[in-house]
Amino acid sequence: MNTECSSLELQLADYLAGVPSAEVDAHLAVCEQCRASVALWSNMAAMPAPVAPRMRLQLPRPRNYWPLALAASALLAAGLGFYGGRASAPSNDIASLRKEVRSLREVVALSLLDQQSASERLRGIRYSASVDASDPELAEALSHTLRADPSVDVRLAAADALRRFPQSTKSRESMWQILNADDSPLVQIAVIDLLSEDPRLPQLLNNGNIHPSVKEYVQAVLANPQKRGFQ
Amino acid sequence: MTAVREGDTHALGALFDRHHAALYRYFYRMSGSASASEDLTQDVFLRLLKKGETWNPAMKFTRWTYRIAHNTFIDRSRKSKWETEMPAQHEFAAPSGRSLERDEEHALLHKALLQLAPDKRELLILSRFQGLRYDQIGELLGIETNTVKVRVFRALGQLREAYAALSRDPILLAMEAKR
Repeated sequence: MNTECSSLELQLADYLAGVPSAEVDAHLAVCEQCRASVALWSNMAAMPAPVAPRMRLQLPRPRNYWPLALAASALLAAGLGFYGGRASAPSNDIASLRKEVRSLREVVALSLLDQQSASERLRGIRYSASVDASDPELAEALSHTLRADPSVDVRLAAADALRRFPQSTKSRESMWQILNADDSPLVQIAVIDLLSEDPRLPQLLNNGNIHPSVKEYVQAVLANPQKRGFQ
Repeated sequence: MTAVREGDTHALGALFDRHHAALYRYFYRMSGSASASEDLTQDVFLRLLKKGETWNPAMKFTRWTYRIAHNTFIDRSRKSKWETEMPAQHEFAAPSGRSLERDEEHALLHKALLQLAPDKRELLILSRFQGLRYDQIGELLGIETNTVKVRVFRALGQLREAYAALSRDPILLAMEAKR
């Protein structure tokens, strides 16, 4: 930036805001750098705006598992330390502790899924991978997240996590409801993957709520059932 | 806002519906992270509820909200680092007549913006994308209008340099071509 540029900074800024100036025009005719800056400013206006995801206000909820989880964690750590120091701990006590560790993981995962922050809820979903897939409460919590979470990223992660859970008739019905309610094509595709064995899949081709690109995906899946998921 | 000041959370819900998208866009441009932007947007409304009594009706609600957003971003960036990523296409509105070359240009510009120091990035975001006038930005940040003007033009110069450097980077260009 040369001396002339520096002396014109205020007028150049006004020029960016749409205030015409013959002095600035004359300067731009001879200053390549300022001309490039003004051109970049115009280019910025053409940048597409980030799309805000579907969100709803989330106020802190009184329900919070964290103190319980932390206390249980401390107790378990003490218990494991105690048995770790003994040569022959009774096997039923060890089994009981393992069971408690599993339920502690479940509590932590459920607690994280209930958090206000989207990144914490994503952590909860990742944490759920360490919990036994036969746990119906966690499956229900993930299913609720897939149905109602305001963040598309969190809903997609929940759909992915639900793949390892066995599906009941009730959960499949719930998935069909999600297909009719969720307006994100990415989530619709993830749910279709969960319903891969469902004989009603062709019905989606006539469903008005399904995005055209998702219908193409359904057609591809029906034509080649092995090709599921994002390629 | 008067109702929110008295603890009316339904009124806060109405304010959220009206203003959350603009705040999300501000945070997304500032942080480059979709999940952090969602969290930060929620944080602003929690702070509005907690700090309702400090609202001065003489100050326009939008500008007061941006002041809280500005403080929220500074506080959170001190505590945690979020991952900035090259933006996914679905995270942006699709203008008509979009071309691959144009998309790449905008992705590089987005990346160049994220390379600026946060205070400089914020000046460009507020003035170019959030539609605030220089005097409004000055009121928001507590600086003179002329200072805002000088800083905006200088920040634009830095953005131009960062963008030019990225445009010349052969590795980045190859990555962009693959996307």
